[in-house]
Amino acid sequence: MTAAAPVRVQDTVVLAHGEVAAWEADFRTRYVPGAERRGLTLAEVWHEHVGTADVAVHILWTLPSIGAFYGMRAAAGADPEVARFWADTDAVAVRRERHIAHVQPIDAQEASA
Amino acid sequence: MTRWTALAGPDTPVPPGAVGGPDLPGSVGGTGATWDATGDEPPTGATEALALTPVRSQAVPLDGRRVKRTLLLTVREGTPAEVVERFEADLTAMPEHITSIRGWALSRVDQARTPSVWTHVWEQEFADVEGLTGEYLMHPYHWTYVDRWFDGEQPGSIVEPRLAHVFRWADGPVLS
Repeated sequence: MTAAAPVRVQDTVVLAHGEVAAWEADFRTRYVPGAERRGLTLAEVWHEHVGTADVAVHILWTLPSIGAFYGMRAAAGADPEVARFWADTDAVAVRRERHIAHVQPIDAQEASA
Repeated sequence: MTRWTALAGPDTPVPPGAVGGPDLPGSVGGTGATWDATGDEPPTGATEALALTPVRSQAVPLDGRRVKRTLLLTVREGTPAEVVERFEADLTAMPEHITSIRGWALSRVDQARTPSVWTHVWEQEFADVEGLTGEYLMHPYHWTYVDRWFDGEQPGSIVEPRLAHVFRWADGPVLS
């Protein structure tokens, strides 16, 4: 296990380009504060055009441990606002994905540490 | 012959024909004890007894005491059958990745015999508690892949939030 933050959570929300600004404002006010209380650290947000009309909003979070991941999951499950936020997102999004990943070492020295 | 799993009170005597014991610390959603039985009738005195319809299982030799873990879960009503089958396939692939799992069994609850909110029973045996609380929970196949079926923030989740995750010591094989 490497890294101070071995868990990555990546959300991808594909929206019509005219919906992106409003959704991101909603995301920052309704979702981010609670996510940070649950232990997620917002690392990066980036945009990718994925068609003539759609933009993918990619959001990268980090967590400090696998235990922190399970704690985050439990806290999110206990907060009905989390489900409401994602239901509202799904009502406007073209599609949405969430990927959970385990950080791997990128060089031999780090791998053998 | 039907296999049964049952939730029971911690002080309720285990009836003849059943094996069981108190749920260990860290168990959640149970009623204090878990029993396992095989027979035509449910074990008497249980808080809730579930008749099991086998999906897939594997018996793995293990000497002596073992930790018997039982997970009761509910797949959301209306989930398409092919999606349920993919979920079941992902669960039953866990032993291919997680070496601490010894014997295991995935079953559907026989709703005709024991109508229940629970739809599935996922059982494993471990040599010790650390096999469950360590490798099983910490393996990336579990938390980066299987957990998405259970995570309400995932768009494809199908399992209701309420679970019963209970585990106990067993003196001998349960899933054989």
